[in-house]
Amino acid sequence: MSEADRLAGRTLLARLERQARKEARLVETLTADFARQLEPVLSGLNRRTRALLAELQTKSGRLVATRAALGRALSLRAQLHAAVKEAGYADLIRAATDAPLDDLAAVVLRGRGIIASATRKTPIDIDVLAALKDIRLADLLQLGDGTADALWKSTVDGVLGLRRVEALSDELAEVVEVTRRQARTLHDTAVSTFSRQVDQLGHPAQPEDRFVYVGPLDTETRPFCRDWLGQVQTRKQLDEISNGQLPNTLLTAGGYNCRHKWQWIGSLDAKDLGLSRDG
Amino acid sequence: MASRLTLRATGKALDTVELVNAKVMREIGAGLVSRIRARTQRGIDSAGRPFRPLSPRYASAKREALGHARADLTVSGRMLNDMIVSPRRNEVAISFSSGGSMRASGRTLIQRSRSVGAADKAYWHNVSGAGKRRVVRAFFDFDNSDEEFAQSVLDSWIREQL
Repeated sequence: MSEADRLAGRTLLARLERQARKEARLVETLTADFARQLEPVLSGLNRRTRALLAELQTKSGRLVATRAALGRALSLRAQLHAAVKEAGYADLIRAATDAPLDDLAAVVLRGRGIIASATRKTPIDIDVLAALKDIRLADLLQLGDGTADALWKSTVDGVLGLRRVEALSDELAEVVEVTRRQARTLHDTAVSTFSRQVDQLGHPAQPEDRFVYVGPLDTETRPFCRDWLGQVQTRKQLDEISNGQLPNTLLTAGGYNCRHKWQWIGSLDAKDLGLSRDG
Repeated sequence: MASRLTLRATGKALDTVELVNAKVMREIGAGLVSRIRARTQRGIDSAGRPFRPLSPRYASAKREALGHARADLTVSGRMLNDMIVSPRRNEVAISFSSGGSMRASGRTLIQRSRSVGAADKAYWHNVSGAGKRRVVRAFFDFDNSDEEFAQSVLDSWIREQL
């Protein structure tokens, strides 16, 4: 066997190993039950992909934002497809398979254009959806049991940008029986809370884990957030902090509409975090 | 005359030392995300240059809504908050937890900013350029000091293990 053959064999083995690790991880995070819940997400991605394609065709394919969004939709779709297949939800795959979109994904994601570069340079990781398994949004936002599904759907569609926020808020308003304005607050708060849960994915916080409070400082920053900005607390200490609105400040930060978060920092200090010059 | 040199191995055998793991990678990722955030909120791009100022119209809207017109890529905070760290045993990836570029919508500037996914905004700022004038404010990258930081975290970890 030549040195080149040995090298090719090692490269192939390394690839197989990486793939096996990735699939093992997906199986761990996605169960068949959860895959079933993701079915509408996959349908939503298919719809969104077709809408973006239609937009490109009617506008001569010149829209950078549309092309970038198409790249991400195709990439997410491919990842979601693989994930639910690994979770053993074969019916879903059969129902959701849409050959022209599969072909399109295979071609464009290999390319060098905007569509492919958006997925490489500013990627979204489908693994984030696994955070939806653990988070109890309805409890955190102190809503009734009957609202959990609507909130789940509103959040996932909002996170992946599958539908306009007004449409999501309107649906939520009907189910939760609140005004459109209140529904928008619930939607925005749910999406932010989900984003904070993603940070904990695979790494549930231990009592001694350290977190720093980060986010904007401007005239809209409320006193709670202003007081905590830049402060470091352990998970255990966070349990003692109340934002006066919602439980679990690690996930809900300053409460409704909050723009801040507790960022995990391990054992890093201010200099490591780039905060040494002006805090 | 002959001299004799005796070497004695101390500490752990090298092949038993865990040189890297997902925990260290997570710490490096968290540090890099924090450094990107801190630099961006200071109005500095990943090459150390100040961001181009906001357009007069957007600056005025931002001043009215938030009391300042700094070019710091921060209104709702969603883009920077949604940077996520995915550590593996010997690598770490930084990506975004949200996407979607439906038209921005909402009653307030914060709501409109929040209605657009993080990955999309990052692409406009970093690659394609944002707004009608396609202004690039590249924030999502690393500079030499970031690399030195990552290296120092790894060095400290290895020293601890030895």
